[in-house]
Amino acid sequence: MRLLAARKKDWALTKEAFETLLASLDSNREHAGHKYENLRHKLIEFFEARGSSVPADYADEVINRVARKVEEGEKVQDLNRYSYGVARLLFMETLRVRRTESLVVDLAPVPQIAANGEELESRRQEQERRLQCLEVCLSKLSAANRAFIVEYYREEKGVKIEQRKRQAEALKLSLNALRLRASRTKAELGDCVNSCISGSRETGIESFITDY
Amino acid sequence: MDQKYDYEEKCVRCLLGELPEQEQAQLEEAYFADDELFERFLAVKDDMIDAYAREDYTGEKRARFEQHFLASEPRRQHVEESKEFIRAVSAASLNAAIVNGTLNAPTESSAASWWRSTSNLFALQPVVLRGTIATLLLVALVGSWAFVRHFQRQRAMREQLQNQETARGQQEEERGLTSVSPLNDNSTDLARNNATNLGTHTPAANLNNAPASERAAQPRIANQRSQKLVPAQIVSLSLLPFVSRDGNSSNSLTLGPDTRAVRLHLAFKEDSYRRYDVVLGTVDGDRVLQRRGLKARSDNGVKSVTLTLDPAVFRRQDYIATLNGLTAEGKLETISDYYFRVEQSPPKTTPQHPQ
Repeated sequence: MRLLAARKKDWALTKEAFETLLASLDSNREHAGHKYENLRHKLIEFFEARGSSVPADYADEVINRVARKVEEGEKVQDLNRYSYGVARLLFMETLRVRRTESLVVDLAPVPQIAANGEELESRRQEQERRLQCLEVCLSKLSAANRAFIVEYYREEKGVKIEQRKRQAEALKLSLNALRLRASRTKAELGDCVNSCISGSRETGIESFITDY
Repeated sequence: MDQKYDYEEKCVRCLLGELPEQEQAQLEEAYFADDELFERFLAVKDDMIDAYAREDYTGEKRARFEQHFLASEPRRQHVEESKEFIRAVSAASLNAAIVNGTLNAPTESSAASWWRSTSNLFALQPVVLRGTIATLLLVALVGSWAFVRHFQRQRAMREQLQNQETARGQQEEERGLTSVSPLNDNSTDLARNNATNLGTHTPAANLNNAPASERAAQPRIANQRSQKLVPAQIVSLSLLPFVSRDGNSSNSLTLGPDTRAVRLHLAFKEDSYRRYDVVLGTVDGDRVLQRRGLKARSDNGVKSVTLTLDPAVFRRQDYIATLNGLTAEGKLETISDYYFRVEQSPPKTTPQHPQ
């Protein structure tokens, strides 16, 4: 048992193990990549909903464990369900550790540390870059999606619920379908903004405008 | 149908930590097995963050949200990002170039294509946004017309005076100002006039909150260049190279509590560059930000580069915007500096109603 634990601890995700995991998600590599991202996102949500401060780390740990099982030849019928089971087990493990720690730390307000001039400058530049990327990404959405997302999210205190009802009626959608469309479009924008930010750090935003 | 709404309701309760463990596990298992359910879960989460960021949650629900949902750092970060997103989209909604999808489009676009894209936009927008955008476009049109007319008049005047001012031009050349276009002539007057016509124009005021009659009246008010202060969501300032910092209000930018975006139009004459960069700094030498890869717009021989900025980058002080151009050989050259001052408008006072 101790030997098994040691072996588990020493195991690290290799390229081959990852490829095997992807292949078991879908035979088409592109689809597999999409399914992998989706699974990871579900795991992050799971740990986030349970109050974890590092949900992405736990999600990766679940994926490591699942990949190891798959590499060892375990026949997994449904990787999503299987991963959920592993996530629950890991959560139980973390609970045991957490019981010995104070939860106050996680619930306490974040201390306000005065940022120095350089940090402020860096934050301001980052914010500026994000805003610029968002503008570019908005302009790259289809006209219908752009009009939709601007109308859905722009600031309008007090009347937003009514305005969304009108928007749903105009598009002949239910409020849930409207919300779903907004969420999808926002996610699309988020992907674009992230690519733009990382790209603009290296080659400037101009290349992103033309290449994306 | 009930089942569908039941699912959304369960998502809300799950996110607020109100679901019993068994129900939460069922919900999670369901969305792990079904991507569509997961997408709906995310949409509910997005909506809740959005509602909180807009301060739509009050009382117990708000307290519950803060106590449970905001208990973890990643979620607090989501909320901050959402606030930023709402601010940015709101600012972008006032930028016709973004709404039209013509951001950084070729600068020499014809009037016909401009109108075509505008009419496409109108076909897509819901009624409320259409009204707002129509007003903004009218205001922008009036502003642009005044801008072009003003420069045309100034150019004609300058051409007449050109011969007489040769000597003065030579003096300026000795002071190293010749790299700047002749727009510098009469710079103070020009800037003053420009500011009256265009600078800090506030007609894009809080149109959404105004009654319909007031919204309809907005273009007329803008046309009369009323100096009446209205809370502005977007503040524009047109600048000429080397306008002196003479203490008058010609090159000052007044930011109000409702200001959501600042637009700077930097005018210049020469245009032989592939792209433009702008460096914004304080007169004390502190660098505030840099924008790269900008394109110039051309109106009757007068070129301008426009930047849309978050008002949060400004404080109450003097600034210099340096416009640089990238030559065909890849060399960055300074075209000109633009001085302006940023002021904060006093907070609105609530009118006293007689008892």
